Amino acid sequence: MGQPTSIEIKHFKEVREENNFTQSEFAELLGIKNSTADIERGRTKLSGKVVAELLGQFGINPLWLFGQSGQKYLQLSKGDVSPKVVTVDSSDNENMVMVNQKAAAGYPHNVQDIEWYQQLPAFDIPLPEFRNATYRGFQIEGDSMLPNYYPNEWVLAKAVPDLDQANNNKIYVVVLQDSVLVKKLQKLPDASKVLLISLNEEYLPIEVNINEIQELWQVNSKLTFNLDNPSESGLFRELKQSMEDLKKELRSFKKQV
Amino acid sequence: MEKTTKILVVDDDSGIGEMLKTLLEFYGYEVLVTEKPLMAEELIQQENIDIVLLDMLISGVDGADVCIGIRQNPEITETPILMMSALHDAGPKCKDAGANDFIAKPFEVEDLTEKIEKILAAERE
Repeated sequence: MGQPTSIEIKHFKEVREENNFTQSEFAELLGIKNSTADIERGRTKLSGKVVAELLGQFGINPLWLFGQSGQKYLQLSKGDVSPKVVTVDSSDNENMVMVNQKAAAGYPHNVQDIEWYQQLPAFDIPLPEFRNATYRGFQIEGDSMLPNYYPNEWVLAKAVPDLDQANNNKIYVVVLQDSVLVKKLQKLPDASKVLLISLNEEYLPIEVNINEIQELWQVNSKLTFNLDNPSESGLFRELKQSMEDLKKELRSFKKQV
Repeated sequence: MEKTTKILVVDDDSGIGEMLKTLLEFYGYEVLVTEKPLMAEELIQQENIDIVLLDMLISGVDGADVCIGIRQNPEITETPILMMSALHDAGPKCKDAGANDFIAKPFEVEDLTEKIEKILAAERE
């Protein structure tokens, strides 16, 4: 099927660069010794194992990799973003596992490991809002979701079975291959991708391939602390910013006069 | 698929062969690859191959001759063969050689699996 060319190497490098991996990081991820330099220089052929890893981890269509197709991605999960493990208490009733910041770091890699969940605290909220659905708690890390979600707060989120059932512009806990993010989700015209938006405008939106999403949880409530602290609404912050801008303009205007 | 379909890929480019193996295994098929077209007949017999995916242009050998060889071997003459080629007008030549169908490269994976399943469904009837 065609003569060996460097097209697969070009595409291999393209995938690495698009995902911002160094040669050694990419090698580790794909189970290649040391670095991908030998592959990228054309010294080593792409093995079936590497092709399989690119397909499994990034949804890369092997046909595209070898220049035989224009379709870069294959849909692996067909949008299945349901929980990989559902936790229950001693009476076989579903409970709510709480994933703290430390546990969140290991979550993507343990997403299918039943024993791993057993070390996490779990509880049940006897309220109608939490009945007949699977819920999980996640702790907020960082300030990217200010002003609505503060670091160390907990969000309680409901499992979403598949991506088609996700609503545009709602807040979700998105479990990717190597991280757990809390973001506003926006669907894109290219159905193979979604945009994850931070409420804090200092953070840029992130475009992710849907194949990278392992689980999706819709945030519907939160546990908040430090209620005494004054909080700012987004509108209030915007107004404050506008006032500051106006003051600056006025000052420069005065100087000119 | 009631049982795992076993596919033999005959392609002299080991990279492409391995790539097709990875792809088709992902779609639930069992796949064997050979770079040696002359080994094809032996493998079909030994491995109980359900369908052969045969490249038209194999260095040194005409894929159509490999196809004719399979059709002339009474032990394996019924084995379904899907030929592939970058030459879009190679279809009639493949059919003349006895191939069940032909797929022009480049192709999408859905087109390939659809053709495989169509051939297998026709065989079962």
